[in-house]
Amino acid sequence: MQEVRDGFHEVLRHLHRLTISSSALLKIAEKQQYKELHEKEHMEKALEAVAKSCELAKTVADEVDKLRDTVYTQLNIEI
Amino acid sequence: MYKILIVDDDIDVVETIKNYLETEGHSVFAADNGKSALEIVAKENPGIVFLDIKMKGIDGLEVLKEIKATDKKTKVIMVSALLDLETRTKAQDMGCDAYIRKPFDLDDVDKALSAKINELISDPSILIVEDEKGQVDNIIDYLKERISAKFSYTLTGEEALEKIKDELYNIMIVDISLPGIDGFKVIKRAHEINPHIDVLITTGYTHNQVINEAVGNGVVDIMSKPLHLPVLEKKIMGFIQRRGFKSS
Repeated sequence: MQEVRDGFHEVLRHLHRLTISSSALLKIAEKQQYKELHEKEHMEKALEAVAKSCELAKTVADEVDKLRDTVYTQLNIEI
Repeated sequence: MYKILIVDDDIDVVETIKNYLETEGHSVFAADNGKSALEIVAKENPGIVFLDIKMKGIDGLEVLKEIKATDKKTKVIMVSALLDLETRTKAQDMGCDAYIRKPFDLDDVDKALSAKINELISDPSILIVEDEKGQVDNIIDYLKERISAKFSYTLTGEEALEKIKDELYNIMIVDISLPGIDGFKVIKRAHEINPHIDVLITTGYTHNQVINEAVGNGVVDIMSKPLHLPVLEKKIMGFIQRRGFKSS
């Protein structure tokens, strides 16, 4: 049981980092500092990085959902 | 501006939160383990601490216990992915002020911070140690109108030390010339009881030896008598802001 708890804790730990970093970027976007990026012609690279991060985050979320489905099935919990 | 300590063994998380809060104008300290956290608490006395529970070495609950033993008024927000009932109860018994469950974002940090800042704003405690009752009344009447704080006074050093043993004061205004134990001895003993109390001395003497001796005894500021009350107010406000009770 402890191993499972530690495993989920680790997943949440990474998700936490993802959440904090994403919200930090959002805060900057809210403050319109992306305008400055655009002016410096870095906007394209920033958008590329955002798209890639989004894809990776989706992959992680999909994996965790699959794991949840497996566990629920094994425990006969209705989704 | 507030003094805030972030404690988490994930250094990326700590740095991101630190950078954000610094851009919001706070003075932020970071630690990635319990030992460093306690060193920072002892040195900087932050008003608010975000404290991860699960850490290698000294864990968050142990750190919480130490922080509350040092200064009960420090607001500690416990942070964890797995806040089970047993852990929450333990943390609560040890004086934890709030919880946030991971993962959280920077808006959650803002919300938790605002709540604790509101609590901090409400109750700085100020002790005035002055043997002239008329002077005490003047100080309290003037400051009460302008500063939201809890004021107490004593006419002797001995009484002051008794009060400091019983209650957590944040600021002490001490006259150096007191009957019985003099102001310097009161400050020294007061700091042995409560190392985090900020001290402002009032004195009729202004020569260097008095000032040097005072600073050596942990005094933060000095005022010459007769006191100019608007200046006293400004100095006390400075203490309150540095300690993290009020925004500047």
